[in-house]
Amino acid sequence: MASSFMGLYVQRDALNIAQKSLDIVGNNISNIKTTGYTRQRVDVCSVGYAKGSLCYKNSIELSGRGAEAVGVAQLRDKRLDQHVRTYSAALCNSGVKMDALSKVEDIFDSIEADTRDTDGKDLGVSFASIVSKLKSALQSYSVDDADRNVMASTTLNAAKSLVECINKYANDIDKVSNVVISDTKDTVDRINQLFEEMGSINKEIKDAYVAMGYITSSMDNYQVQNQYGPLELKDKMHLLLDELSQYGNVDVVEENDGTFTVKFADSIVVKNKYYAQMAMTEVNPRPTELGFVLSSNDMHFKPKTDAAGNVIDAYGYVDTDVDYRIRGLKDKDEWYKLNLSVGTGGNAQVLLRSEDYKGELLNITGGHDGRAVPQYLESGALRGLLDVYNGRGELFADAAGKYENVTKQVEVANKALQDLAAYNLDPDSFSHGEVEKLKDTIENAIGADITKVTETAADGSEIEKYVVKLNNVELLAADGTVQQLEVNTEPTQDFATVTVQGTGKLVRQIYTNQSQGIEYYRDLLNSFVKTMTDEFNGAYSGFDVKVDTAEYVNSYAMQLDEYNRNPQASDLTKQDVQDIIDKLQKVDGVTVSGNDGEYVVEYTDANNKTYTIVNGANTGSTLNKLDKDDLPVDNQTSIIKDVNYELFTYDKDSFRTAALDMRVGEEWLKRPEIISDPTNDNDYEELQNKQINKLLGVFGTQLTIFDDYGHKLETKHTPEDFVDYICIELGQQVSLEQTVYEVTDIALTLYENERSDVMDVSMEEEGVDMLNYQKWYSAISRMVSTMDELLDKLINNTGIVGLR
Amino acid sequence: MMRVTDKMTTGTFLTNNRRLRSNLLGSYTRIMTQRRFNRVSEDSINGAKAMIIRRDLRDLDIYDSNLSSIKQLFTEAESSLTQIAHKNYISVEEQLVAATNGTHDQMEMNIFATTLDQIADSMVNTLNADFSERQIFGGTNNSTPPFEIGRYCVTDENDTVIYPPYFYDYYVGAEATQNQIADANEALAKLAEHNTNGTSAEEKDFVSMTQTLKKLNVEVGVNEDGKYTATVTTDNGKGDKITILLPDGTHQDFVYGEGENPVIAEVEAAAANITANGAVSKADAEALAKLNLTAEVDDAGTVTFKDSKGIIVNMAGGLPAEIKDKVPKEITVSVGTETVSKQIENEVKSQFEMVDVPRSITYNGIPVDFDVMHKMTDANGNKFDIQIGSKYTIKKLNDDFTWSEGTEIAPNVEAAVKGRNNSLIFPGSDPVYVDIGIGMKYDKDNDYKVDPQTALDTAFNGAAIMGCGLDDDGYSKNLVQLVLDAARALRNGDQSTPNAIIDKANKANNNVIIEIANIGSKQNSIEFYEQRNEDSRYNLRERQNIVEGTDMETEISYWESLRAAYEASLKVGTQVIPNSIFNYI
Repeated sequence: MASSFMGLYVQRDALNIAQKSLDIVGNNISNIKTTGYTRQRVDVCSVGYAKGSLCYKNSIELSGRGAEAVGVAQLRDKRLDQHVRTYSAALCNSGVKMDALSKVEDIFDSIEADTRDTDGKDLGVSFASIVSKLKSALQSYSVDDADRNVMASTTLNAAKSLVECINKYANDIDKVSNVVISDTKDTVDRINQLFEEMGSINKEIKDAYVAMGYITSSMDNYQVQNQYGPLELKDKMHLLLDELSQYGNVDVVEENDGTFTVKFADSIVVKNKYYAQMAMTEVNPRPTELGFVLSSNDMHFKPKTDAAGNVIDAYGYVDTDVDYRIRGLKDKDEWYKLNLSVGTGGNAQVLLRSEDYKGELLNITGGHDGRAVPQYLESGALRGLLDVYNGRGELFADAAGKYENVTKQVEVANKALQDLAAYNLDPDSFSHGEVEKLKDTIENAIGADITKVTETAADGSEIEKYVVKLNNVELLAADGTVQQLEVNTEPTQDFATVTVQGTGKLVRQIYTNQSQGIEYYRDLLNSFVKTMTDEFNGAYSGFDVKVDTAEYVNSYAMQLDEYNRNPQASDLTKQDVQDIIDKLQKVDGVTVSGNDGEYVVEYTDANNKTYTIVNGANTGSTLNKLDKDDLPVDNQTSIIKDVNYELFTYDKDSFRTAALDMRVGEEWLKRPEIISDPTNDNDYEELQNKQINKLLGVFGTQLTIFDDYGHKLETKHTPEDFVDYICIELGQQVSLEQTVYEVTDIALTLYENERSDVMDVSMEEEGVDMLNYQKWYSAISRMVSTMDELLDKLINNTGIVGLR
Repeated sequence: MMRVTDKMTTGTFLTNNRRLRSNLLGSYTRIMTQRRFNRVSEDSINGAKAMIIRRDLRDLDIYDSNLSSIKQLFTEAESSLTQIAHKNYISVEEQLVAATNGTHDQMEMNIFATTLDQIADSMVNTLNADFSERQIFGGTNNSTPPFEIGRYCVTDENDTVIYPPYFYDYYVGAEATQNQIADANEALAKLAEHNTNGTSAEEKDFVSMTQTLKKLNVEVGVNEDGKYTATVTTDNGKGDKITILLPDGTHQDFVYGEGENPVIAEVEAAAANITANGAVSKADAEALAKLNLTAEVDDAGTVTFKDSKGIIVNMAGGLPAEIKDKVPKEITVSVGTETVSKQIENEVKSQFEMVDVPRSITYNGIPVDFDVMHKMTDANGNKFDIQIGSKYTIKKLNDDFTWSEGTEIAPNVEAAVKGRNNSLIFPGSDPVYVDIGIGMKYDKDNDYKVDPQTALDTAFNGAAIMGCGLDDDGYSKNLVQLVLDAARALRNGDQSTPNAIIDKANKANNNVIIEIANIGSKQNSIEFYEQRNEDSRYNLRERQNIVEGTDMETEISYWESLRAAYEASLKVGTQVIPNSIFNYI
């Protein structure tokens, strides 16, 4: 039998629920403009059981026990959250690419920068226009006869403009690249912040659940009622997740303890209160190859250790049979196994970087275990930045030759290491210039660290030697012990490894990003420079040039004399010295004799008179310059056979900086008319345009475009075609990214609206709810009055007949 | 039924409004710039087309500029050649016909010769005219006037003169001197006659007479009355002067004389000394050496004289006649009893040879008659080929009658192949190919050589146009050289050569006329290409407008509709927070 006052109790509870529902309506309305807020709802259910009873009763007397509020829930849809985040990542990915590549397009501006005045005069300053201006100047030089010296200077100036323009483009590409790096650093910083905040929120969520009591416990663990609990903290977490999704592909799992386990780039980055941190790496031998590694804030990743727990291998790959675990709950010393097993098709590549670092590094940007694509970081702004920064395209990277650059640079480094080892063994065997060049070569080729050590010789003098280390592996010791590197590639892999010969120690892992990023366009520009320069210079070779004998011989003799005076301090390499000797010996009558550093240069004229110009045979070198007036008339000029001119130059050892280092050749700068009179013997041929036509021929010929590794484009181009090709390729890619961006934006808007439909507050709906709950509240109040009247009747007016 | 949340409403409004505004800006930019796109990425297909059109337009600029430059050059060349082929040539023909009609004495023929020389000079001036600082007919030579008239000879590697072919035939020292003396005496007589009778001769005649006298070191003066005087310095070593023409017309002639070379007496004296002394002194040996003789004295004191070939010379009766005859004579020029010039025959010969070297025209430093494709005549009248690979030296006679150092040339096979119109490869005769937009092609595998069919050669090889080398009759093929040769022949009293030259000159002039026709033909081509380029430019601009240009009517309509939509959107914006149920409860 129910209590007489049960009805009142029932209405009391109902009044509370109505009151709370109105509160939640108020809360929803209050937060209608709050970013990340998820609308809330009081979950109400009918009371259909007897408290304290061991079994469910549904007898008539226990019916009508009213309603009960079980909790305040949020209205979210995980599927829609995932969709929104996926498209958000895609949108930001294409947005970043579009933005950066637009900046590159601005550099090669081909339409807006190309204008004509009202008379139709070409005022263009676009790449194509500037290339065309050199052609135009050559044409004028070829035709115009007014003043050839002026035309020669005009042509030289056009060449200088082109070179300056290309230098500027290369420089501007660097600037865009630097902006991307800067943006990337900021992005990584922000991502690290997000990871940290998420770890922190996880801790608060967990504590809140315990405090709020939404927990069901078991023997080993406990489980929360995660539909309720700390809703505002969850909102905050979702807000962070939404932001994180802009940077990369995100997966989220809500754990039994109410915390969120977050995967970024397919790798766990937030687990419970623990979180990972990202760092950028720059990898040689391709110095621009940018990657990211994840490390833990608290040694999450266990290094390879021996039974005693000592780190036994800080480098190289970890073995496949070792468990790599992430410590999730530190206080229980429990290791959660990461899906990181190497060599078994797992998801990550684990690298142990150094003992000092004590953490394993998780590379999320490269391929792994033979999987070419997709890489872990599949989408988002970070992927976009990475692709834009590293992307070298597939243009020159055919399957077989993809890592030829690595192989080539490692070969260069090996040779330089051997030479530097020889120097360490015998410092007198190399000049200062040679050693500096060797150091530069090693640094540029593999990015090794070179340190100088000073030793004391037996005679008390100081000897400088060099130690070379790469990733803490000593490749060259001061005693001359040297280790050589080797490159290992597999056709199915999209990375190559650089290891130490014999030991197999890994010192580098090289990935090739085949997106069409900044590097792709830099390569195109460099290929343009290389092809144009090689072709122009090739057309200007094999001339028999008339020179002033004294001036020519003296210029090289002076260099040899200076070298004689102190070979060790000279900046000249052995090859430089040999080149000087070869150039001197091109003059009939010149002989160079003597050992290294003791060179003697002599000249014998037509009258058999011998002049000793440089005498390094004795102590100290002496220089007696040739005097033109002392020479017989026939000897005052000489013919230097087979002279090759470099009209344009670039550093052939550094293809990547070809455009940046491109210059107009020294000879051309000195003598602008060289392009019409390369032999310096132009009697009766002032209007000769045969040589100029050679250069115009380069403009008019379909050339094979090569990169530095011998890869070539399938189609041939004239220089002007190729400039157009670069601009059009770039324009099309930006256009493609714009299209992708717009399509993705539409999809994202749709999913955002869908999600908004579920989670956001509707004023109408809340108004109706408010009226509803108000009426409900009034009805319950009315019910209480009715109950009161009933009880009043029962208590005060029942059984009182006769009392009055 | 979808729930429409406030966030959705405001978000959708803002997104759409932003898009409208972006489109409005884009349309505005297209109207203002009148370009449909400003970057390739905005319209990659048309962007690619636009770049090609722009390149074509730039190329047209180049072709137009090239055509414009060479058109003026061709006009100038045509004008110069017309001057020569018509005006100058007609004068030449008239002079030659008149001079060879057999009615003129030498004096008149000399006047014809002078006139012809002047016409030749005039033609050279025309040919050397530059246009905009370019030597029109110099081929690739632009540093010096291509044609020059002067006195030249060409020697081979043995320093033997091989050009002009009659170099040695014509000049004999003594004869030359006698001729010169005769000319001088004639000049003196004319001047004397002028002093006496006041005969009026033309100014140029006086100049000529003065120059003739100067060759014999005669100083000619004119007094206030216009009377001439002439003095000459004697050979007595004191610098004494003799007056050979007085204002009153009194004058003395030069007299030619031949004597024995003093070396003969010196050698004979030395031989006598040696014979007498039985020994050879240094001085005696040096004296003998002047005639390439030596003396030997054996142990018995017998003296033997030998010539350069080791043949014994009998000096008992003095120098044998066969040797004596070969020794150049001493030539004297005297006035009355005073000797004014005494020279050994060789020296005299040398001096007068130079004076009489014929005038030749050179092209870029080489006489136009020097021709690898024709046989030359050597000093002995033998015909021979210019040897490919041999070296020849071209020397010019300076004003002071000395030879220049000479320019060495070495005709080679390549040069001979390159030569045009059977000409020697004159320096600067390479073609100058210019791209005029007919698709200039280069052979990349052959040192980027231009395909001649695809370009226009703008070089005018003066030697090829005016003619060079000799014909089968030994006459020059060069019009100017023919005129010079005719003038020279007339001076020498030769009428047959000028007569023959009338036909030869006509033939040479025909070549010039053909060249004028060629130039005219090329000018027509140039005009055709100019017109074609103009058409191409028009078409390209039209195409550029289609590809790049904004269709203003459509764009403005579009902009208007966007503007209306944007304004409507803004109006909607004021209502974007709509009334809710709260407005009614």
